[in-house]
Amino acid sequence: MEEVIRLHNINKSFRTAVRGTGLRASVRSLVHRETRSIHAVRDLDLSVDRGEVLAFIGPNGAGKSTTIKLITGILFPDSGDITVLGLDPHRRRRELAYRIGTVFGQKSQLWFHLPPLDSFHLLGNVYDVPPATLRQRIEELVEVFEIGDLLDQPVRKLSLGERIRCEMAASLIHHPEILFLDEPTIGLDVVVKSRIRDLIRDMNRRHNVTIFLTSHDVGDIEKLCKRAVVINHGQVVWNDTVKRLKYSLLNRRIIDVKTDGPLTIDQEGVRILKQGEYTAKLEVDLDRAPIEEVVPRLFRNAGIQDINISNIPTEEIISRIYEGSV
Amino acid sequence: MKLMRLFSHYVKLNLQSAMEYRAAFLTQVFGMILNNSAFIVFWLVLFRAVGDDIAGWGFTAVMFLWSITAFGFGLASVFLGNALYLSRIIYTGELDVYLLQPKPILPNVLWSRSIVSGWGDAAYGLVLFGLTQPLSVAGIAIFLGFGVALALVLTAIRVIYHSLTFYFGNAEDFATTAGELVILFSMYPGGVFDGPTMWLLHSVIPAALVAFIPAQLFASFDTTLLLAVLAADALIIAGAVIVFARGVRRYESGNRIGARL
Amino acid sequence: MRSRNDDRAAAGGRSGRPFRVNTASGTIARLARRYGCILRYGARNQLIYLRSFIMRNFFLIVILFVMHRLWRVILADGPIVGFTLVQMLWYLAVTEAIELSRGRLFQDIQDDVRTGAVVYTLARPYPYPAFEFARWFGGALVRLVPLLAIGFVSALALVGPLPRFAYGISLALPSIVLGLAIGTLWVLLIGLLAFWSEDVTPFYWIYQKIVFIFGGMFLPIDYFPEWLAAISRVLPTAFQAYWPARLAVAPDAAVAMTTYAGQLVWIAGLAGACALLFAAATKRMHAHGG
Repeated sequence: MEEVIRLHNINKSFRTAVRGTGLRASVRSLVHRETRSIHAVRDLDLSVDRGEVLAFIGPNGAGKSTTIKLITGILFPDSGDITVLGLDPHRRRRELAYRIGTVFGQKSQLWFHLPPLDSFHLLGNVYDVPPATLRQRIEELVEVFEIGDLLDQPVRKLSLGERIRCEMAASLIHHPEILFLDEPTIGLDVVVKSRIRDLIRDMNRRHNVTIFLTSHDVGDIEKLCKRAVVINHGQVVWNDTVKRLKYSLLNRRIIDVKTDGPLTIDQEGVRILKQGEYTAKLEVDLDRAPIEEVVPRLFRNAGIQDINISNIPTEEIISRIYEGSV
Repeated sequence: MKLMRLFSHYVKLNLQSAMEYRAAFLTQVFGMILNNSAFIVFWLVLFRAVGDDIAGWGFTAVMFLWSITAFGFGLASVFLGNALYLSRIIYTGELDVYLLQPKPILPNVLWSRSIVSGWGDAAYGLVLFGLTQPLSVAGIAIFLGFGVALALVLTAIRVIYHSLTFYFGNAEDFATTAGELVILFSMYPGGVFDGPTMWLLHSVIPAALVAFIPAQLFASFDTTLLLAVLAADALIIAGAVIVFARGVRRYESGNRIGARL
Repeated sequence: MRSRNDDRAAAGGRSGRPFRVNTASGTIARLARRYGCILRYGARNQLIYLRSFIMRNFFLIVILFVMHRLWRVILADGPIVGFTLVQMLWYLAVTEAIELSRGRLFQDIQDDVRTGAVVYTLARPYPYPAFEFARWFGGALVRLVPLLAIGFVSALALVGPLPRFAYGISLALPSIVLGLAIGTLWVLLIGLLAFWSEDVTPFYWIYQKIVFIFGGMFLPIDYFPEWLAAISRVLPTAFQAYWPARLAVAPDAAVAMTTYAGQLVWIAGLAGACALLFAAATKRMHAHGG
């Protein structure tokens, strides 16, 4: 296997201004600025092979974005070595840029007031794609992402899902070897989400594009990725297959119920986390207790007023990894 | 070559973008013409009342300052418009987009936004020049050349001051003010300033370099002075390139991580 | 090249909009208290805009500095049309302070009309234009105080003390405040045009430039050719900048009285125009179903 990303002993810290509230503090901050240092990434080691689909997860502020920015050459590391496609990202930023693509949810590559097609042509120019190749490439992408109808509408008039599809097409104009996706499905409805996932998987299979994905969405991780790297406080706390992560954590659901009276349930794979007189919080292990069995049983056993089924939040996954319950 | 292609692509795209809002475009151009004209009336009335000589400058010379400043300012707005937003681009992390593209960062950033009212400024400068100045081939060459120089130096000054955002946090207000001061001082007869003010106008607020000296050269050409001012311009532009490049090394990409903790 | 004043003076607060005064009747005392309250609220809002506050005052200093260099040369051989260099600088300090403190209330109204928020103000127990006026006039007064102080200190540093300062200021101060009211009413009037015009900013620009020239902001009206000066002196723009500033540098009790009177007449006229315009706007809103 060819290694396309390699990070060794990476450190990066930021200085942030400490700012008080109120008028006096803002007056003071005009003259004197207190700063403190935040160690965003510490001694980070990471390696990704060509063709991999990697889930890169962690709670907010764990250093995910910083890591991606270090890999893509946006940020300079304080210390350590980074090699991406055999290049040092910050010394040979431009060479690397031709070979990677990025979709960052909040930072659009598309011009807000213009139709996506205009942005595609500009990006073709930015990435020095010859006009004939560009035309052909756009045709391909239009077909794959089904954005033919959107091409001549100003981006500001597109829905979020439509925009993300155009955004992904834009990031693929120059045939990148690695695609970085930062929360690509955030804020999308279920149908669009699974569509985007199909497209990502397709990119990977057909063109052997390496995918580096950050997401809070367990579905994204389960459906797309083979390996997951979990980071917290700037360090890798888990690095193994998604399969194992799934067996230990991702295959669990939390059920919150409101009931008429006290709830009793005695079933293998169902654990009561919290119980009040009219409420209960259960954790279900899907391998031992399929949700389609648990829910009907709940309805039979107690007068259910309200029910809510959810995934275990990323933050909790992290803390369980720490507790060693994995 | 490739860069020039990118440049013209940006110009085209910005024009298209402006045409999406035709009414706003026309409003801005109109407002700018109105604003400039009010000042012309001011100078007209003033010179009529006090005689045609203020510190060695007559109405025609002041109109040269106005036309070249409007023209150069307009060029800077139209073709290098993003310089005004550089602080914001740095502290919001928008610079990421440019760092991810395989082009030199500074031109890529500066070209990618155009301020449409600049078209009005540039046209106004040209028209004012045509109406108030004696026309000769050499004179027109000086006007156009120094108009471009003014655009470049003004942008360089903006880049230098906005780049302070890399080092000290949001410098937007400071940098905006510095750019406005260059323009403000460029539009008064240079002869009224002296001493330390004149030093400032040759360095940190280079109004003398971009307007007073070109006006002087326009009135009576002098090769030594021309070379000196071009060297000074080049120095400022090189300074901007260096300050920006060093700043990028310290770029923190929005610092959003810090904000969340 | 719009710079300086335009955007600098833009600091007028919008935050914390909901403001309710519970009252049904409208005695004068109540009215005074009510608008006094809105006025205070506008004033407090100003302090939030510390940065633009500093920039505005800094620009006043720079403008006065440049003007000093210019007029120092022009008036080197003594006064032209009556103004000495000292008077000229102090005059400009006053006109600039008035101009820079005014604010852009028309944008508020334009936003309210665009978003439709203005419809809800109809249900409030006080007329919308009066509310906007009180709020922005309050803000303008707060901006005025430091601007005047800094303008005076700058003038003092540049050209020395103004003869008969105390007398001049005591005569000028009421008319400065009234002049600011005239300015605010104009901007209110322009704002109300938003009910008819998509974007009223061009109207504001035109107004601003008319004040700039015919209000004698940079150049006292006395410098105009006589026929133009004669017309300019009676226009509302002169009562907004020229007359108050002139009172400060050339105090004269009789002139003061005619200035106050003229200002009050224009205030009444402009307030009437605003009321009429808003009445028409309300009718239009009802006709169009809001």
